[in-house]
Amino acid sequence: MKRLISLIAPMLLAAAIGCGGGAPPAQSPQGSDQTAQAQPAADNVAAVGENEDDSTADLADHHRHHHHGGFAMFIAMSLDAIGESPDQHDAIVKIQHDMHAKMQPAKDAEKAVLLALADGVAAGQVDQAKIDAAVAQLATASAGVHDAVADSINALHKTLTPPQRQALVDKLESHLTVWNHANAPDEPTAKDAHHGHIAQLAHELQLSPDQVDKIRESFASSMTQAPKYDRAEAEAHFQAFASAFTSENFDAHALTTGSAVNSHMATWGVNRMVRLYEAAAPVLTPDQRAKAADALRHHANYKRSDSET
Amino acid sequence: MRTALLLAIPFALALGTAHEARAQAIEVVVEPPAAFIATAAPEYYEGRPVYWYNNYWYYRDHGRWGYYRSEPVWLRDRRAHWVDRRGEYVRHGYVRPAYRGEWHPAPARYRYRR
Repeated sequence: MKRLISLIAPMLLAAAIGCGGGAPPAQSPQGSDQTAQAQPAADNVAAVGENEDDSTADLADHHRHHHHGGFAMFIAMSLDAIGESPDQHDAIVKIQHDMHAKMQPAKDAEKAVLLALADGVAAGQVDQAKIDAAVAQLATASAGVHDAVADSINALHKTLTPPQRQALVDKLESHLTVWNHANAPDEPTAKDAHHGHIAQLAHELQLSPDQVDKIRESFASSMTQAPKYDRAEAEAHFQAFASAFTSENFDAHALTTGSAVNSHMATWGVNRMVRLYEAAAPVLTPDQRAKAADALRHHANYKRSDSET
Repeated sequence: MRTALLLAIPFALALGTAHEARAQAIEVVVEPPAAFIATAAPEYYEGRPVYWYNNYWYYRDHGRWGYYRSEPVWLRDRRAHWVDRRGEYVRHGYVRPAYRGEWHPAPARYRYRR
C-alpha cells in the first residue's frame, strides 16, 4: 500500500501543477461564470471614453447647455435607458413626463438666460445685468425642483425592481461624471482637449487657431473670477440618494440636500456657459456671432422629442 | 514521504493558479466610460444590471466595475436575439431594436437631440 501511494503521489503532484490553472472559475452568485474586476479608466477617458461616438457627443452637448433640473434631470434622463418591462412602460413614461413638467419653470428660466446670451453674442456685447437677473431666476426655480419632483421619485421607487433601482443609481452617477467633465472649471487650461466646449465651438464656428487661443485665454481669466463649484456637495447628495434609493424604504422628501445641490449645479453650469460665450463674443466675426447666437437660441428652444410642446 | 507529498499537492494547485493569473494579466479590461452607462439600456442578470461593452458583460459591484470573463449562456442567448436595425437608429430618441419573438430590453443607446 505504501508503495502504491509512493507511486501515485508524484503523479498527483504533477497533475496538480499542470491542472492548477484549470481550476473552476470564480463562481457568480448563481454559480456558472467567471468574473473579474475591470481596470478603472484614466481620468481623461472615464467620462467619455477614448473615442467619442455620436451618442456620447450628443450627451456631452446636452450636459453643456442644459442644467436646470440638476440631479432631478439626471434621474429623468436615466429613465430613457432603464430597460423597463412592458408592464412597467406606461407607469415609467408617466413618471418621466411628470418630472419634466415639474421642471418646466426651471427650464423656462434657463431658456431666458440662453436667449439673453444669444442676443448679447449677436450684438457682440452681453448685457450683464440682464444675464444676472435671468440667472437669479434660474437659481430660484431650480432650487424648487427637488420638492416638486419628490412624489414622482417616490412613485418611481415603487415602480422599479431592486436591480432597476441599482441601474438608475449607476446611470445617475454616470450622468454626474459626464456633466462634471463637460462643465469642468479647468477646461481653459487643457489646451489639448479635443472634446471640450471650446473645441466644439471651434468646430461649429470654424474658428482660427488664433481665435481659439484668444478665447481660451479670456475664458481662463474669467473663470478665475467665477464662484467656485463644490463637487463634494454634489457627490455627498448622490451618495445619500444612492443609499436611500437602493433600500426598501425610500422617501425623497427626507433628502435634505437636493434643493441646494440642484440650484448650485444649475447656476454653475449656466454661469460657466455664459462666461465662455462672453469670452468668445468680442473675438468672433459678425458671421460667427450670428451663427453662435442661432445655436444658443436652438438650445433655448430645446425639445426632447417632436411631440414635446 | 506521503505526508510531504500530500502537503505539496495544495501548494502545487495554488502555484498553477498563480501561473494562470499571471498569464491572464496580460489582457487589460477597462471599465465602460460613464457616457456609455448613462445611455445604454442594461440587461438584468443574477439580480443586477449588466452592460455589454467591448465584448464583455459588465456589472457594478461595491462601487467598482466587474465583468464576466466568459459570457454567461443566458446572456449569450439574449444577445443572439438582438436585431440591430442601424437604419432606424439614426432617428433621435430611444430606439429599441426589434426582437425576434417576445419583447425584452434592448441594448440600444439613447441619443439626445441637439
